[in-house]
Amino acid sequence: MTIALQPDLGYSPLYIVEQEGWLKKALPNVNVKWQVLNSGSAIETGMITNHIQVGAGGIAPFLLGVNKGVGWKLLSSLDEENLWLVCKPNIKSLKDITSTDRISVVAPTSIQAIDLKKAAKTVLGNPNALDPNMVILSHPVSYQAFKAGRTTCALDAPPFEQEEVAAGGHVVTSSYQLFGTSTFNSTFVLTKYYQSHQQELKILVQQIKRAVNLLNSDPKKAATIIAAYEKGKLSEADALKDLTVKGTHWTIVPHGYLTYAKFMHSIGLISSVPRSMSSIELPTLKATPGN
Amino acid sequence: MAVTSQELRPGADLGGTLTARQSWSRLPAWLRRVIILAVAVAVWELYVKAAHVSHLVFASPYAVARSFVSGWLDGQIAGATGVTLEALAIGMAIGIGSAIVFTVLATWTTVGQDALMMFTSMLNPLPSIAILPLAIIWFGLNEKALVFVVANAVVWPIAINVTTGFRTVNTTLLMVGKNLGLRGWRLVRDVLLPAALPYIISGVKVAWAFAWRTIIASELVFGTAGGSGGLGYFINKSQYFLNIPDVFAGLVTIAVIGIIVEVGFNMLERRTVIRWGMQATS
Repeated sequence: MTIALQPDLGYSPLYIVEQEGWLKKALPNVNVKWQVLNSGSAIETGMITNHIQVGAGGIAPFLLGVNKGVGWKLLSSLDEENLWLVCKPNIKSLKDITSTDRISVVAPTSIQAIDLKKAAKTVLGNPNALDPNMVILSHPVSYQAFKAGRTTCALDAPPFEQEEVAAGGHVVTSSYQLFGTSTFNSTFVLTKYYQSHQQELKILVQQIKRAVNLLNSDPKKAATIIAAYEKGKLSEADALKDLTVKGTHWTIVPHGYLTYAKFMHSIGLISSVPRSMSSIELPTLKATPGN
Repeated sequence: MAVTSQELRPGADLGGTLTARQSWSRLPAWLRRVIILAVAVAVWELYVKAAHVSHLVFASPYAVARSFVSGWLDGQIAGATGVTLEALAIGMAIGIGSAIVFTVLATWTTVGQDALMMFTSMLNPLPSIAILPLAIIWFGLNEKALVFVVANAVVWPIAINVTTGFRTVNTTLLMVGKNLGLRGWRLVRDVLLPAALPYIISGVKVAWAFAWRTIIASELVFGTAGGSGGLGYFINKSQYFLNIPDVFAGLVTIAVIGIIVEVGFNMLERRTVIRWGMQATS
């Protein structure tokens, strides 16, 4: 079983499960491999070609995959995070954006790109009004570009958005403001893989839940584990600060999927809205269905 | 005994019996290519049908053709192609211009020659795409960075070819020019440039090949702005949106443009250097 995740503290529940070796203890006979990939698109391709069995990523690419017939469903959510659109001080509203301004998002199908389209629709009346301004940059590069003045606005995630504010930016709008409190990352598997590995996946979700509980009940201990996982790249104090950012909640319950799906459908990104949460969730979420 | 051109044809059967090989080689070249293409497309379609590959992994020729046509009709691929070709043209123009200036300077002065030698040997082996991160820092997240990377991909191969061309100019020609009193720019324009034409054309050909690969690679890495991205960005975006036929349609567009330009160069060569019997041997 290969579990793929991305280098971002939003995946902390999975980092903890890996770092603490919980899955190895619970499933001694299963060869579990953890793979960190820099792009959600790479994880998606890996799952379609069956090199990756459990993927983790954002809400929008997941919904797009559902619509395109990838055949995956939600195993669990990981967290909710408030994503800020941070702009230079002279941009008071999106109306101040001109053709030479650049706004960075992490991928054309990312939740951030969808947030930007929703903001464009709300403020400017056209969801695609800011497409010519959009540039695709990974979070660390996006932060550097914003700090260096190469971009006017950045739509990233914690802790980069906090750094961008510290570098002189201000929050123009946020994902919670646009869509309400909603899931940032979740884990998903192909339905046909779930059917043949129900027991193992049930245990994986139990371990994720255990990590989520730890993040909520003892963030200090969680920060110690994350700092150990990052092998010196992140101090315990910084990890604690990042894990307890206001607006970040650790939960396995998915939220906001149908709200995002309705918007993505209304602007033509997906051809239909999932009938209900149960049509995109696996039984692992039966006790705690999302919305 | 004179060997007729018929006997020199590829695949010609010198034994004289009418075999399948011979009848194949008797077909016109274009027909042979069309047949090979048709067989390749048929095998491709059969593979997609028979192997039940996921439509998210591999697209059938039919789906690709549909994406290709609709992409051109709705202006998406045409727009992306326009963006790519514009950056390419500006980059190549700057690259060719600078290459000519560098080589002329190198022909006039020894310092210029040494400098050019050093820079070409240092920078020519460097894949131009590798300087994209620097270009973005210097020029920002816009087309200028792409133009710079293309210009860099173009300038060195052209400079090398033109210098070689200048250096291998027939000494007699050069002497005659000098005897007639030609100096400096007039010597370059009236003697060196025309004599080095085969090298210049093959330099531009090599430069085009570098530039074309570089611009597509750069756009794949950094797609400029979403609304006005080029072909590389079109492919990247289509992959993100899991529109695999669009990915293929983008690739087909790149290949077709490559073929068209290649044919253009061959025609240019046939009408100039080959016709005048001065094709470069390198």
